[in-house]
Amino acid sequence: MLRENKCSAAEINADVQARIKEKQLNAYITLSADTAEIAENADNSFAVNWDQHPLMGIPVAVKDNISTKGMLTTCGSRMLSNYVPFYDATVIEKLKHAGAVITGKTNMDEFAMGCASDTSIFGSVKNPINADFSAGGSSGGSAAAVASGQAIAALGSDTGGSVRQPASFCGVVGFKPTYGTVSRYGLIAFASSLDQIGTITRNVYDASLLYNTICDRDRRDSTSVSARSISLPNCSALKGLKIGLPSELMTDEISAEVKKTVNDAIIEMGKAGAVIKPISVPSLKYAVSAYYIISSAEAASNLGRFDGIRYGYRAKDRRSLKEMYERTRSEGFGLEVKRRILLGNFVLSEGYYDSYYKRAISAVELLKREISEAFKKVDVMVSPVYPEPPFRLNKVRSKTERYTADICTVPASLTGYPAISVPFGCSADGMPIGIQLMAERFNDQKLLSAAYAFEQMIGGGVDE
Amino acid sequence: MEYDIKKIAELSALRINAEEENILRQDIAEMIGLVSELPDISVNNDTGQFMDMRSDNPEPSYCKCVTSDEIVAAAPESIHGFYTVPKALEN
Repeated sequence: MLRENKCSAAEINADVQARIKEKQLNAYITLSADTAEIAENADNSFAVNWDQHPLMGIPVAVKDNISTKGMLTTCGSRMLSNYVPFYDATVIEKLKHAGAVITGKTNMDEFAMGCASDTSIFGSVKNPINADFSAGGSSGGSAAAVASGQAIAALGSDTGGSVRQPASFCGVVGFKPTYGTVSRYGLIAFASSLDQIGTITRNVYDASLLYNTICDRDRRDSTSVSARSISLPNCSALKGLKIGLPSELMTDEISAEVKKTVNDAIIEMGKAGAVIKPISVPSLKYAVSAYYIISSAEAASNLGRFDGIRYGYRAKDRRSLKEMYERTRSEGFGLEVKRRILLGNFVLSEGYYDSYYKRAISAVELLKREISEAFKKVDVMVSPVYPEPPFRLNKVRSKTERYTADICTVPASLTGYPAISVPFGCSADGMPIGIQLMAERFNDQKLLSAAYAFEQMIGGGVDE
Repeated sequence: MEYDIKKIAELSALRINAEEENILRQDIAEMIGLVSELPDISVNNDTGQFMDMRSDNPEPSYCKCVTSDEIVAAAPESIHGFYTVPKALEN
């Protein structure tokens, strides 16, 4: 609409700002002060080169664990409640260069550890479809902002499903690209070998547009690799596409409503000419255990830097340096973060390393081999995003229940493969249910093409 | 599984009070139970977790590194080209 001069950046920005004020979802932690000015400048830019500035004037929200120069970056934690980075993450530099208007920083589970955006010190994020329900997590604020029109698109981070699951809960599209194709420079680390910045958008087209803007090799991130731009998709991408359905992700642990949604989606894909193949990846049963060992071990190491010396929260009333470290960390971190740090240090401690960490690494290797074999037979895998539909905010669940629910999303994280959640069905409560598509590493183009064709086929992805 | 929650907390530079200790003891036991389900899998000692690099990696097209001057300039306080942090201990 902007490109066709049907509306101005200032009008879009004003609409977004009005929605932020109107609907109290707790989606944002910090709002940008200068959005109106930036939008006006975008409107005044004479003859915009859309190839160079594809997001000119578009309001984009950013998860609060991505560094933004001069703007609070809290990770939803008391530990960083006063932290203002002096540099922009690479993805923020790219967004700004593309002309995007950063609307603000979105709420999230503390240090991205959680699946309901309820461990933030700034309170829980409410689902825009029904405020009694969770927006999912950990990028719940980004998903809620996009679903409610409080941003046109958003960035999140996905370590074990934190972009895909909240997108599914809020009825929007969540895309985790191949590990390494988007620079992590400036992303505050949780588990470095799994962390990946991803996109949350209203449709697959926007996901590819945003991905094209932020992907690139970056010398400041040693794990980054070159990425090919997505040339958007054609609607016939499903015809002849071989789609695998792993039996291990359709077990009795998956609720009947979610299973039906996935089965219905498969029927639709079949109608469009896709060939559905039931497949088996036995090592998927190890994925959750391996994920929690590796991610907690890396978190224990990464979060060791928060000691109150250089930045962030510092405890008062300290008598020794050791006491200051301990009090700072004990008062600065919430309970969920402490759990992960404790588990991480346990599995890395003497006598347990071989029994836990080493086994987890072997399990991941086996998982990679089996999934790689599976991708010799199929082009894309389809599965649920989450075993149950969106749950109520106050739902009490045991730790095991919470963690095992990540079964559908952690395989793509552990293997580094790209995956996307696309809204499809609806629960009895009227809440959205998404399906997940996953492709082999560096096949982001194939994945987005399939997702786009599916979205077009079901009449989804209509923008306002 | 036997484990000493206080010892792990000490390794983690965390102080936990009695109330937290009760909660965390139970939670960590539950989490250890979950992750203990992993068997010892043989993958021919090939346990590297690094991803294959693409062979067509061009030089990065985008790279602007933060200089030490920028870091020092952004610090609340600096002396002789070094940034300073508040005293950890007053005495």
